[in-house]
Amino acid sequence: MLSYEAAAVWFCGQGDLEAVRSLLGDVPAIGKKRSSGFGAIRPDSLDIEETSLALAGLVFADGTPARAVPVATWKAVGGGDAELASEAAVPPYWQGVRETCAVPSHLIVDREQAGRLTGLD
Amino acid sequence: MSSDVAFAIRLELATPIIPGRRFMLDALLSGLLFERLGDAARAVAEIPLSRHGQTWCGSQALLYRIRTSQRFSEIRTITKGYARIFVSNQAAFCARRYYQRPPRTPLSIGRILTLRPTNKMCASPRGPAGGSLRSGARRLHDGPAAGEGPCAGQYPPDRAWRQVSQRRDHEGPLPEPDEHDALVRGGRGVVLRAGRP
Repeated sequence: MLSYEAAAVWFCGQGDLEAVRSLLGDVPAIGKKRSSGFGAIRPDSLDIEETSLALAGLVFADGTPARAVPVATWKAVGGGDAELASEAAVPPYWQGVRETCAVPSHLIVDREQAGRLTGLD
Repeated sequence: MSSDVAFAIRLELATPIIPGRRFMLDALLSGLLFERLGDAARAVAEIPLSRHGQTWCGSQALLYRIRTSQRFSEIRTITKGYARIFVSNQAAFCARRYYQRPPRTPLSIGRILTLRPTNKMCASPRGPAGGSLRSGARRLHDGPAAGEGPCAGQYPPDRAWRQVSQRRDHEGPLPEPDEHDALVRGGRGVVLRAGRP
């Protein structure tokens, strides 16, 4: 397991914004080893903004996969060349059946890159 | 695809994060729903994200402004009393509180052996109406009511237990008790036999 001393975590997605905000509003920590103190969230640091990104949560703004997307779905949404791997595409991911997916190539980003990939800039 | 809105989320971190293999938004939301609902199937079905086919529209985490990344490995565990401390290559931190279950005795399991003085004493009536343990044990041997039970008149009440012990020790097994000799105590169906000579 790798631990990262990061300042922030970014996600993008598409769905019920208020439900997502209410779920994430009081989350104390995320990631693995939460009960041991890893992944603690700063209080009142949740920031959610609407974007205009098409297929948010599936495809980043630069056309790369935003998550593990099955190849059939990836082709259906018009995805281009991407790295492929055998992954579980539906939760619970520790239990799911693995299939060939297009997987993201971004994990560590700077501020400009994060804004550009999630469609904020 | 539904007409839900697209959004970007930023969460500031106070401590290092271990994202695992892939840390995706739908997994995070389903985990939070599972904590509230306690039902894994509902937690997955009620993720408030759009779906494209079977795929939820939630991205993988993007880690912003990394300072360091280290491989987390648990080096050793220090246990002191009820406290347990993990010492890793990054820090020493407390584990969850725990306690050791005390060893279970035969009486706590409910394994009450017959014709043992301690067992009969534990099965004796307690409290103001029951009197002392010794008198309760005597009452079991004396029968349902003092002076009126099947043992009445055969042994003095204070000699009843001694007579039973002597029979067990020197005269072989006791004869089979009849229904007047059996007392059922508690909810576990434990039968204490007050042997009638």
